[in-house]
Amino acid sequence: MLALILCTSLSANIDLYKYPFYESPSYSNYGTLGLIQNPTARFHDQGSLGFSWSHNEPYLRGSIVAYPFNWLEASFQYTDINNRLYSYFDYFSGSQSLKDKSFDAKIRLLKESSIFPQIALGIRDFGGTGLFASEYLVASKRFGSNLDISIGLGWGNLNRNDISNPLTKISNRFEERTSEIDLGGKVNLDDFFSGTAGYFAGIEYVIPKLNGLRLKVELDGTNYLTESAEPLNQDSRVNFGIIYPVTKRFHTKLSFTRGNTVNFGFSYAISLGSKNPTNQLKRKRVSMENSDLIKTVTARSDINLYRASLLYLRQEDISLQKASLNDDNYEVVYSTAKYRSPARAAGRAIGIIDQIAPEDIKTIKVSEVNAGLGMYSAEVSREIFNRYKSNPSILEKYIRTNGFKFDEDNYKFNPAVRYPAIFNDMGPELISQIGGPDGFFFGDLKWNLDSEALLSRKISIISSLTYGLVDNMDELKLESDSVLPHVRTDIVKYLKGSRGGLSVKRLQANYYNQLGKSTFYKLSAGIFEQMYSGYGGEILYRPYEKNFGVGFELWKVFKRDFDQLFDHRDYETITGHLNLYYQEPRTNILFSLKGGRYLAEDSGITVDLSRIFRSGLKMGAFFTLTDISFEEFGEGSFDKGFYFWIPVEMFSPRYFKRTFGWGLRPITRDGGAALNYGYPLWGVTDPSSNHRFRRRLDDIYD
Amino acid sequence: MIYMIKKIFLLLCLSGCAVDLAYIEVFREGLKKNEINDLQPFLDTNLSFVKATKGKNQAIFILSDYNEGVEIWVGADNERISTYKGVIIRTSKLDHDMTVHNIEALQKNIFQDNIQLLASLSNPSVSYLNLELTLDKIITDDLDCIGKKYKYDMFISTIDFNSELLICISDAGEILSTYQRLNPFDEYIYLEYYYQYK
Repeated sequence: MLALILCTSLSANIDLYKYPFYESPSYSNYGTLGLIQNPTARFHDQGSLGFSWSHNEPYLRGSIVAYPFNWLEASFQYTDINNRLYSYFDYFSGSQSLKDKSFDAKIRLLKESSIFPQIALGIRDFGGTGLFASEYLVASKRFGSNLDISIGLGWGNLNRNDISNPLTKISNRFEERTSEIDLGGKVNLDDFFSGTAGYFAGIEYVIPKLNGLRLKVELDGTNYLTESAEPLNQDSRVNFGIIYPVTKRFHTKLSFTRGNTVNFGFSYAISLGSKNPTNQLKRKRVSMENSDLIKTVTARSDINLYRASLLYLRQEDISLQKASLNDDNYEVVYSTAKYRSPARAAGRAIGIIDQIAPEDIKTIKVSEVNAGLGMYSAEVSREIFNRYKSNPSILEKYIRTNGFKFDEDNYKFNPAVRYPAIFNDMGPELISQIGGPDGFFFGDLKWNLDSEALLSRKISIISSLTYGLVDNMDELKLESDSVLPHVRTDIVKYLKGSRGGLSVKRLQANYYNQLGKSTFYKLSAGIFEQMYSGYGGEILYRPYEKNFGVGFELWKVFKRDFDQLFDHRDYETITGHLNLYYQEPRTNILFSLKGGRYLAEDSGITVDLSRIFRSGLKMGAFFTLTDISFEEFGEGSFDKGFYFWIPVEMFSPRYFKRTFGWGLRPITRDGGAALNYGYPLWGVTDPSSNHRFRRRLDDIYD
Repeated sequence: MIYMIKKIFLLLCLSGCAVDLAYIEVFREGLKKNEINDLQPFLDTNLSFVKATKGKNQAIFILSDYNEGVEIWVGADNERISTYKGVIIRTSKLDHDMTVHNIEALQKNIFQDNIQLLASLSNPSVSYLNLELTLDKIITDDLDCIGKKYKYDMFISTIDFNSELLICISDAGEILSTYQRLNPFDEYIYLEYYYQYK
């Protein structure tokens, strides 16, 4: 039996060489994993992000695809339909072609085994206008290492090879499908799996000795008579295509569909969920050659130890705030703008102190602060810390971590800090608007200056100034048609108002403090964002040992003038929310619920779900429902969107706390609009989580 | 007829991706070569070492053992490369390791004839593959090699893997450099030898 297992395993491994990247699934012309037009039941690894582009006349389609779990594919498609005008009103949209956007999702129902295929259920174009709306059930099975067969059942636009709908045997409600194309946004549950069904099938074959080249052949399930805005001519239901994996991540594709159309495209997918997904050679902790000499000096007096700590921690971008030596226990308090992982920051600090502190110090305690707020303390025996360097998982039993209230008067060493301390960053910024009736792309290239001035540990002023360089925003014409107070839909006026000159994105003063170890509060005033200034505050209860938080925020806001300088318009309101957070420890999903009053004085809730991966990648989605109707909200029916936050350090040998993010809100309306203020407390207190520290404990020796 | 007036207000806000100069620096760092230009500190140790280049990364391996012609070179994170007459015969702790099982075939035929070896690869793991080294030509006028350059074609039939092995030897018989690829999923490794003791 063992020999059989080994033979099978080795055979599979040889196939990895013979058919390079055969396990890496490929994208269809539709923009999600699939054959040519048809979907398959394949998924990328969780934590993967994908991008696909295809020219499939008359469609140009770009897709962003995310895999928050191994069993879930979620995607956003943006399609240019070039055989149809955006509108029939020349004054409105000129000769611009029709643009469509949609959300798709696919879930895995059954994982593939040696006997059973992988089975998935998917929905296309839900929450959109319905031009490409369809549902499907698909099974995929791999035979050997280079043949993958998929077969499925489709509804909606996937019913070309029609059969009677098997679900009508369960209920009559599956007989009819409204196929209504409307203003979009709503999810029409009644239409799911309704109407005539159809079958589809296909194969993907990795051709040997051709560096992973794949051949795809399929019986197309797409109903071109009902899909999209105009029916398309189909001379054949059999499509052919080839995929060439230039690398494991980057594929190019060429296909022949409908018996009359050549298509081409490319896709890129990358797995970003693991600890070091791009295999960067990270800079190790520095080992001091003259450690023994330093220890003899620090042993002579406490002040020598304090000063050595200040110097050598600073070399690792760890800023010593306070320190105390009590018999054989040495405690330091620090802040760092470098290490995202609290365990890594603590490990660096402990490792440096271990190399400079005299040997009679037995215990090291490190505490991190952020914005003058205590985040956590970690205390460990020096001997234990050194003993388990090759096996950090054992350290978990011996390292003590706690919440921490930062009391500035409790320490013997208080290095003077020169205030104000000012930090600046600058660079280009592009504001863009894509896919509106006025034109496909409007952009405003600006030069951005971000500053932070620390007036004390707890008081800061953050600012973001921009200067417009070049833009084409003057061609934007679209006026708001919202029946609600125009709290967001005057966006065109703001975009045009800030062009070609100086504007203030943010000028916000903050005061932070904490009541006990677990309760943090912040008071803020100034210009919060592009459209609002005001004053207010928030409070957050976030116990270190627990995975939840409860907060409350309240703001008095004034609508800013369109030039985004210091004048205001005639609108002011009070907005406030109760915020609930729960971080599920096993999956690392963060559930956020925000309930209260929004900028347009509507009341409701925002549900935000996100998942944070081992690498720090965060992907999430949100929606907001308030007491206004879908009709009052307008196009899109309700507010929703998704976002990604990617740690910069993934792409560098250095460590950074920074992330860069990208988000998309398909439509900007006034309902469910929340204030966008800087540095919310949940983010500021991010290191204050025992689960976060322990989950990444293996970083402690990095 | 229904006119579909789509007021799609797609605000693809790239302001969240304000590209400040710090990010540019980070990406530039991630892309640039990790080069070792100053070898003087290593020369000052009086130890023999090799400078290994793979892709954009370079690393130094110090000679730690020598036994019957087999040299073992050790890197900063305890990676190991074993060579015989410049030919890599075993590695450990690299991204893709390899092991040659019949070194005696190499000892008998190197620089003279074609060589049949038995090798195992890792990541993914496959064992006991037939590896053929066919002597293609000996180059004496290569500007990059002050001596002779032996060019072998390397072929592993089971996984249909072709690559080449280049060995540069000085007129005194000292290995100056080698260039070889261990795994189809890996890049070529270029080793430059700095012998300071024999």
